[in-house]
Amino acid sequence: MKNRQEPGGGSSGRPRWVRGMTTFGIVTVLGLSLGMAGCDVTNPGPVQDEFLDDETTHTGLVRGAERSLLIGAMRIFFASATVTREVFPGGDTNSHSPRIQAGALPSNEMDEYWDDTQQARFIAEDALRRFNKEGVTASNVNRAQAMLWAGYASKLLGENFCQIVIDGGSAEDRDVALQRAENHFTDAIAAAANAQQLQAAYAGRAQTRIERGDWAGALQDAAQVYTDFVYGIEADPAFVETRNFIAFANLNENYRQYTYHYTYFYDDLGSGFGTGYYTATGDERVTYTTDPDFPVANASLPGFGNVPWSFDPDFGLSDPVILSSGSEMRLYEAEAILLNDPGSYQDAMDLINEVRASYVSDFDEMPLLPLTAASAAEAGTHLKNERLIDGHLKGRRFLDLRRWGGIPGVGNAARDNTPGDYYWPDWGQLTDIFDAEPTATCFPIPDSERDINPNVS
Amino acid sequence: MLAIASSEPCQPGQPPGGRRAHIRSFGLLCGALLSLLVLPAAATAQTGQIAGVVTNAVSGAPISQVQIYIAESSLGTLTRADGRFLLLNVPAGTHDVVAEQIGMGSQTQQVTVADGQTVTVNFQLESQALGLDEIVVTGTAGASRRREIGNTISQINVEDIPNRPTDVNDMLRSSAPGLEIGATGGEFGQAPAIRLRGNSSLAMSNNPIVYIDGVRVRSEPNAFVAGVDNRGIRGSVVQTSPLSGLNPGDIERIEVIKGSAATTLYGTEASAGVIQIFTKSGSRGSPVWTFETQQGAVWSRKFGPSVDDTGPECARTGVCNFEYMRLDPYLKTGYNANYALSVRGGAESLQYFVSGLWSDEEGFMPNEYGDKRSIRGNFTFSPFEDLQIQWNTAYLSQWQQNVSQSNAQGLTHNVYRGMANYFGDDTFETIEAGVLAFDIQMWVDRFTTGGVFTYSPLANLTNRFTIGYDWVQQDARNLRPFGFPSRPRGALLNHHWQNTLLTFDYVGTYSFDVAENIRSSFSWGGQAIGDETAQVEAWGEDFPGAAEPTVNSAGFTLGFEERQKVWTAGFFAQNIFDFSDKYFLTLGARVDGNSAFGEGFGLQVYPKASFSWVTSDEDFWPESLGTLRLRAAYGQSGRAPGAFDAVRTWDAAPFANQPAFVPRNLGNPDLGPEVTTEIEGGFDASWFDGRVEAVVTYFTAKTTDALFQVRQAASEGFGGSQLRNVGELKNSGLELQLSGSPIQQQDWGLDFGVNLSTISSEVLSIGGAPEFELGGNGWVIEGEPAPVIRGRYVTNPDAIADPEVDPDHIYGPNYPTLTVTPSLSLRVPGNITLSAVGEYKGGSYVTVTNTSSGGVSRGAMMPICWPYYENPGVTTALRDDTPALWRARCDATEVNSDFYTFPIDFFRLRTVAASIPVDFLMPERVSNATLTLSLNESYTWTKDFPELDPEMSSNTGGEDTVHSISNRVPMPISFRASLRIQF
Repeated sequence: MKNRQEPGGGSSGRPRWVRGMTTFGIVTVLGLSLGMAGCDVTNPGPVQDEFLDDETTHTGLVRGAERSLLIGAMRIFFASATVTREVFPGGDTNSHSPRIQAGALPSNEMDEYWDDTQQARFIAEDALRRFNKEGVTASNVNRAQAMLWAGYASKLLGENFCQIVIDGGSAEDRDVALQRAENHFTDAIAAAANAQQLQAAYAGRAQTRIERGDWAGALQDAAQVYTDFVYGIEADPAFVETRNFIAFANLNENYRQYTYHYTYFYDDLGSGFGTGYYTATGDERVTYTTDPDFPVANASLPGFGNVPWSFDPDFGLSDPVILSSGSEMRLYEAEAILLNDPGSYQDAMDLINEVRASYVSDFDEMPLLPLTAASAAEAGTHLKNERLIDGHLKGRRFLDLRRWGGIPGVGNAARDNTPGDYYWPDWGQLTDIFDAEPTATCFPIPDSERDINPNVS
Repeated sequence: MLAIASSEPCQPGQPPGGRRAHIRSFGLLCGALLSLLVLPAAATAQTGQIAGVVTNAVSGAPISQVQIYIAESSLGTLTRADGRFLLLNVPAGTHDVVAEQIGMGSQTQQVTVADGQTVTVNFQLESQALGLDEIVVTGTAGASRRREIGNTISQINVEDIPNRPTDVNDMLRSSAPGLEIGATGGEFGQAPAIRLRGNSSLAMSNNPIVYIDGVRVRSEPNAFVAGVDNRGIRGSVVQTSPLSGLNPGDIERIEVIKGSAATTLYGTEASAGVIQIFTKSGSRGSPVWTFETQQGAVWSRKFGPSVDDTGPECARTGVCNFEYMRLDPYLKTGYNANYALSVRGGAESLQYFVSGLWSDEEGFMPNEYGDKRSIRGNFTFSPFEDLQIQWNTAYLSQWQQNVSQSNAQGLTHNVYRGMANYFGDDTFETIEAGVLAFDIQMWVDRFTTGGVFTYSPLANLTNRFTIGYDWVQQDARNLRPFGFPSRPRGALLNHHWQNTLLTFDYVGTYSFDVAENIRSSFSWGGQAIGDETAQVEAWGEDFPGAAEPTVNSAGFTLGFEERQKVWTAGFFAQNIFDFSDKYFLTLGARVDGNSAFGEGFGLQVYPKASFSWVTSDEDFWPESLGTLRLRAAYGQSGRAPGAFDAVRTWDAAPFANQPAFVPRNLGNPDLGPEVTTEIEGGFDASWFDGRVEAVVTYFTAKTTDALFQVRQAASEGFGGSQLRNVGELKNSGLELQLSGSPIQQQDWGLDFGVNLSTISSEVLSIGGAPEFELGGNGWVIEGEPAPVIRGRYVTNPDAIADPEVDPDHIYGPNYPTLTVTPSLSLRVPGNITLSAVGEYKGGSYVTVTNTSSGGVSRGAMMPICWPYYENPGVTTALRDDTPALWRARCDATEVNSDFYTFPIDFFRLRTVAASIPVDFLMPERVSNATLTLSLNESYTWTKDFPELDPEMSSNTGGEDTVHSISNRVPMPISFRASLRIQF
């Protein structure tokens, strides 16, 4: 040991660079270790929360609410259409489980329906909170638009869920969400920066008031909306989440998840299903066709087998999801006549035919022919069918069935005693799964919210 | 060559020049390799020869592959199969001749060689009792003798593995107690799950970290090609393993440390354990060349229910039983070949090991092909007496093609469901057009280089500085061509992913005598690991026609990019006190920071302590009781959260050509690592002159501040989940490694071994969070195993009645609670060795999430329900006498995947192998030639697993914390013939 040269002593021929390299290595690693312990690495991609107070991001924030609302609305409209047989399930489980296809809305399968719509409400209301912060400047257009999305998202929750929870609170009557929606629409009416925002706010508030049973207030708002007004969110076909996945499910190339067979619109098959409405009218709102190369949908419906396949060839992935329209306002006005003054049913028919005249037939590109009625009941049946046709895949059928006395067999009482009948054949004739459990009338609060939120028992 | 020819036509989507360019560069590399290695042996004027034989001191049997060299010279060789060796051109004079082999220690004899004469020197090597004086480096600062360390280290010597595996994952399988090579799919190239002592985390990765020669390398499976927008998920579902690319012939040994008591010095990433792979280094002596070729085949095991069908489906399709779940027409025998060449040698100042590998492989399903080329150069040199540099570099180029799997355009989804598939048609022609035309290819390149500088300016002072770089790049190309039935206008996904790991590591060790019989070895150091991942994806759809497309030629295109970087750094100190070379006390700690910790968290300290007592070195210990060492260890290590987990962030989601901000992560500024504290204790013992050895360890590990993905109530708006340090988990278990050699004779030998491990886990606390599911029916519930399988359960299974269902039945743990691996090896005259290794796993449950349950719910006639169908092949209506359990499984209105939860109790014969020395068939210059024949993963027994296979996995395989099974295929049976020649 004693004879050994000290480091760098030269007996081993070790030059200075060796010492230098070793020292450098030690210093480097220790330095890196000490330096990195607690270091701050900035990664690209996600946007930090505080950045969203900046006005340059406000449009993006409002569009975030719009995007989530689009997704939430598509989910709810599609599932409720399946449950209410606006469309007939093809057996594929990609979008809906067998239970939902059968007509149930199980609470353990409701997460996505609840989450996206709650998120839309949250983003819009969070935007409004930011816009109201001291020192933050927000444009009128963004402010009013955030109010509109907050209104429509709250309305979607209130119209469809059996109960509602806001911001981690307790489970409350769904009217709480509808009240919030009405307030947001009222604010939007005051803040609207253009005619479209104003019409959208009136239309949304009218829908909300109908659901709350305030017919008088609803009719006042409806009167402000032009018949040809349509308000919706354009789907973005570029992305899986934001493409119109109701259309995707009906494409004649992928999953073929639902069909028009057995629905009101389809030709009578000789078995008591379908009315031949489309064959008779060519109504562009409920177009369908068949493909001899693909006679059946992709999957097999339990207890039924392969389901005959029909689809809407014009339904595209970028098609908008419609939230409100002037035609719906006219139908509300017609229904109000039938409810309050059945003897004036011809006035109601005029309004129904005004709506129909604004659409054309696929067969001759001419406006749809007017309907006639000889009684209030007949007019009411036309109205109820027209609500089904005009509200097709717009999330209206669920509400209407509840208002008119519910789905046969479920047994809820009618709130609006609108005369006339609506289409609801005995679906259980087709497969036992339709009778396996009661058909749902609203979406339950999902189990996940109940599990996570201590305020919800 | 058959396999080579068959793989060539299957690369229609390959970029121009892709594979040829690989081959060309490989050829150049091989040329360079060969030119490097022409190192002529020194010729001297006055020389002699040294000859001899190396035998086992106990049995007298010859030992092959023993390294023989003359100290402080460049002369060396390896013993042949008959134990003989010959050193040529030995300079006249007196020399120290060394014989050494891993596990047998080394012996030195002095000989004097005269000019022109041959001196004979024989060695008799003894296996080292428990390897107490073996040097190990994993988990300890610097290098230590095994006797000094208070925790277990499993060491896998590659030469001891009987069946010459072609994949490192297969080397690890069944190799050590507590080491589980878990669920995997049988798809070509699929990465398995690797677990050491179960799951230590329920939110983060449970993959152990991996080092190769001191350089941190990627251990997680390579990227899953799912794409940011889920556009690629309709692909192969195969996730490649970064370990599979290693050339097994390059590996000398593997060290495995399993728990936090052992991994403390690795800090924040190490709670799931550490695997360190040591590749071969050069050796002094003339070049020793090794050529090895393996030829083999793989084929499918039977995995369907044993049901014969004589109905209309049989008549229509010709498939009249369901042993392969209707997959029969699509299965093939896949032929595999690989060729490896290596050379090692060198002089005192420079030693080298250089190797190359080329393999051509096939899977047993259609469209499954692949090839692999790798090259390695390991160089050791000592420019100065007190400085040694070891620089190792490896490059891998790998290509594979897979079949579309487990999705609407996948093979199994469509075949398993018969006529109720996505085409409503089960004919071969329809499946061929709708599935097999989907072209899925993947290229993986990997470059690993690193150097270890060991500078020892004093005999008792060592500085070791390691620098390393590991780069993996994966290119995936999934093409649905123009005219593909479910995407008529075609679609193409290009997914480019790369991961880079940088290692900077310094360890200094200073040893000194504290007092008589007390020696202290103090180590200090620091480590910084940089981990950077980037992925870029291009998507195109709607091609103009049938021409070979690129993304550019698509009518609609999209691009995605993700990048993230995480740095972990820490420093540590450790002291080993050595009392009389019998008692060893180790104390140490590591302090870590990590860029993913929350702003308010700071640094994390991980302490360690261990004690080792070589009891049999005590004077009072009678020699007749053999060798005994008692040991105990305590330590902590951790697991860091992900790069973005601590920060409240939003995503700028694209929407109609503009950004739309949506919530991404709620954020948690106090987020830190989860910390696992482990105590282990046990003993190492050997009896009967080392003929029987046992290593017994009990461990108990508690993870505090466990990271849980705590779901946020959606009504609060931000939604999703947030990592929080809220949980507590506990794992405990017993590990036993027993081996024996009851017969040790010159011509006959019999060895046996048993590895046994138990795992008992429990969730101690979920911190007030609600019980939550991790997927695959795996739940996190206080007081239950982590995770536990919970789900619907039929309480009247055998009753001829409607099922009565308990909606929240606890089935049991998901992770096997007992694993037993018996092995047997018989040596017969001719030095032929016959070996068998099996493995039993049991005590746990797995849910098959989407095979028969998915089929039944869609109205498909599933084979497992055949005995209960009223009219099989015609209708799904069930017979009236169907028991309740089978009504739940086979009735579309009742079915749920929970009812397809089965116990994992199985035994599998991992390998049956014969190793036959064939030197006698070779020219004289060949020193060793061994033929190894092996049949692998052949026989399986299951307790109650009516379809598929208990070792199958879900779509995401190795990444899953919960083992579940989806629509995949099981691992195949394989046969391999391996010929290894040394000259």
